[in-house]
Amino acid sequence: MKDTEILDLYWERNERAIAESQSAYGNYCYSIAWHILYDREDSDECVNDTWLRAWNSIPPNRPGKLALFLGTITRNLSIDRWKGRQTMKRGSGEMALALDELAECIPDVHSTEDMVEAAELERLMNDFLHTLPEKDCNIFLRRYWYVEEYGAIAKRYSMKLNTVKTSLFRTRSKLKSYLEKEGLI
Amino acid sequence: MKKDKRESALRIMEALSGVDEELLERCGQPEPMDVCNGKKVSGEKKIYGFMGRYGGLCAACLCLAVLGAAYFGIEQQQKGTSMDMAESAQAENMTESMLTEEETEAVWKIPGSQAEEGESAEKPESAAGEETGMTELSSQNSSSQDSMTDRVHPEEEIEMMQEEVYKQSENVAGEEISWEDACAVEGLGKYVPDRVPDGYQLLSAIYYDMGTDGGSSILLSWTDGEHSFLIKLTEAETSNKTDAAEKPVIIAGENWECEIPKPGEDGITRFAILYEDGVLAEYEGCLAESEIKGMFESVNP
Repeated sequence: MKDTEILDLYWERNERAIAESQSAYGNYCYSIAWHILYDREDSDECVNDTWLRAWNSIPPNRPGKLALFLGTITRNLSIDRWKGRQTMKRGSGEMALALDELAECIPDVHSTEDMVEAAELERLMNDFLHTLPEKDCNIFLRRYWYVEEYGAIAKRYSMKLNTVKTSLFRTRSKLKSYLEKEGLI
Repeated sequence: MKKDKRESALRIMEALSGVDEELLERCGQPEPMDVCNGKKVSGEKKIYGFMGRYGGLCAACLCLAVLGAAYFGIEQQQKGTSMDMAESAQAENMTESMLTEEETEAVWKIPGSQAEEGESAEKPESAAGEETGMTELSSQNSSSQDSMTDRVHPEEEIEMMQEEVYKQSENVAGEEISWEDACAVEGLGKYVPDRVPDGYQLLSAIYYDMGTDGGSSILLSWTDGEHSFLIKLTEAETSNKTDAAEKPVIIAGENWECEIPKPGEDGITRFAILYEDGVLAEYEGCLAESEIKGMFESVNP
């Protein structure tokens, strides 16, 4: 079923919309949740919550790209769940590693909370990503949006592991400089 | 403090959720997952499920079969050689004994001549056995010699790396400098170790200037007369240079020492450290892990 047809079902408040979403994007959303949570049960729950969240937001929304819309919901839900889990114990998997890497871009003396509102940070991140060469941008998003392992990224783009590592290292350095330049650090 | 930084990193991670759809679309979709067990599923595995499951076993069986055939072939060949030798030796003895018999028969018969014949026939077999043993020994020697020749001595590695740097520098000849001069080179000098393990002396320090685009590099090598090691420092601004390193790259920072790889089969440890300012330090040599750590700690990785 095409995206437009699934969206029509949502707009008609037809419950088949959820089944069709599950069929078309279940695996995609599960993959996003899995990379962040590394837990089958939690990932399943996040995917199920995604359909509920989508049901509540369409209408009024009519996303242009349903996959990315649903994927973003899953990602946000997974990050929230991951945060909740961290209050109990330190989690494992790629998410913790990815966060430690991103923490390199933040100096000791500041916290981004004091620096900038979430919306502003979103805008800045977008602007920053647009300044990157396509290859570096793709690698950065695979790592920090999809939370994929280095090896998986290298395989996807037929690159050497070292190249992926160094690309991410340089992009993080650029991000740090960019945040400094923007006066956020 | 670290917790604060993590929270800030999490905010960046969350901010990425608002990234433009075109950028996300451009980088592709994630690999499909098996919803039942959270494992990645690739089309190949589905199509070649049997090979995926039993491929390893089939490969192992095939390897055993090939090895068996090769062993059988060699054994047959060796048997053939020893048989030939035994036969020729036997034939020689036969002619000798026949001649003797012919000679002696004319005068008188010698009893027990068959036993002598048997002894003489046995001798070549044992000789052949010795021969086979020698062949094995010599083949072992030659194989060990092969493996010795496969090994590349660090000094040869140094020459190879010098050639490599020479090629990379578009045939710009290097300039022999002192250790102190190397330490003073702008950008790279701070990554030149100021101490090396006891007994090692600087063999050479060569500075290459590849112009404004290519940056510069320093190739340093030390030796204790028996073992050598080398460090190549490059301003690795372009990813091509880190690709060319062909070694595991360690990102400088906390716990870098945990990532030092084990020595290869030739006993030589190879890795590269990428520093925050883009300088790449490649190491090759047979120093112990503790010596490597001590040396690189002197340049605060």
